[in-house]
Amino acid sequence: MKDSWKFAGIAVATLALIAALVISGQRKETLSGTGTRVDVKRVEKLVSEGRLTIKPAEFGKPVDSLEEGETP
Amino acid sequence: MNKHKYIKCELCPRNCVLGENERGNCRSRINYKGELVTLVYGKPCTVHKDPVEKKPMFHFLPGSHAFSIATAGCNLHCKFCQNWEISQINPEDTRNDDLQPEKAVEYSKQAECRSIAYTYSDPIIFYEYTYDTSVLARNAGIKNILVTAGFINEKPWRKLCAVTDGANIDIKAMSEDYYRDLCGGQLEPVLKACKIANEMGVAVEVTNLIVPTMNDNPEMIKRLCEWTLKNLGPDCPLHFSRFFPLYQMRSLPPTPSETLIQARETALNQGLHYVYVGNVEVPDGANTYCPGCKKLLVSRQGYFVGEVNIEEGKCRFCGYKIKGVWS
Repeated sequence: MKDSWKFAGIAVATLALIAALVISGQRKETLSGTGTRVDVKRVEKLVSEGRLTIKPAEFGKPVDSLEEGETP
Repeated sequence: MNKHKYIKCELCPRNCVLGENERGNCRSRINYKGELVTLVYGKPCTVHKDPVEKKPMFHFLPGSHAFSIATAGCNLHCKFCQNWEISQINPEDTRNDDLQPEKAVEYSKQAECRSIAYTYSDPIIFYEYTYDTSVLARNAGIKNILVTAGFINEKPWRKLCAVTDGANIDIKAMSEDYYRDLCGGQLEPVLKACKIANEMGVAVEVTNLIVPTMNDNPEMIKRLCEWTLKNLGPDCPLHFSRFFPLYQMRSLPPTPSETLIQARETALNQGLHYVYVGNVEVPDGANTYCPGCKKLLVSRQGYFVGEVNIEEGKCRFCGYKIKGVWS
């Protein structure tokens, strides 16, 4: 009986972990565009050291979907 | 707080759509707090004083120097890139100087450069820096040269061409397959950029890097010559450049001199007036001859200019008008 409870506990924990992974994966997919991730903290540090800049760029257009994304 | 999920960068034909904290394909433009920003404005990783012939620009103030600047990144990813150490790397990973547009112009003057060349990687990916510097340079009497693959959308290209004097545009091959498979790009926007620059009065010179077994097919070279003749005219200088095994194409040999000589012959036979071979010593390969009287106009040895027989844009011997920027 004790082992059964242990097994059930492990099964529930595993299912919860899988669910969390799936949800976070979906969320990540929803939020990410066609670009690659930037280490923003590193960029901000380099900006403070004068090695990079963060300056508004031209030809940026806010959009709500990926449909008009990167060409292959 | 930006209420939109993404920002689409419409600078180049990739039209990258960036979520927050994402980087575009060019590596230099990111979505930062819901705004498109550039990381490289005024932060070149390479600054040199070069002979203008090195760009190569052969019909542009021969014997002068170009103050040459580049930042990290590129919107193409050519497997044969000759500057891959700066073009295929993030700007966080290069050693960058602080050189704001005002300083770039000031240093150009101090170095007695008659032009500023935006080069080595591709000025398209440091667009705002190139544009602002070009405006200041023009006001200071310094000319602007773009050395570019021309992979850019029409609107930003027209704006940049309006402050540009000369451009060496790389047509890598007359093949969409080649652009897609070897460069990760497209041919059509490049051809369009060439035509627009030419129409807008930019002194356009075209370079074709001949890579053995990849784009050295005589038929493809012939198509390039035909396209150049038809769309840019017989006076558009065309440079065939020698490939050296670098980056992801180290197993190929350098382009044989014979291939370059043959390409030059093809172009001349097609009716192009000014055809050169670069990155290799070939007799007459870098000299300019008058299409009218066939006499030597400009002699060159490597990047060094010897005699110049052009006066006020015309052949000293027969008065034939020579296309280019001469004063």
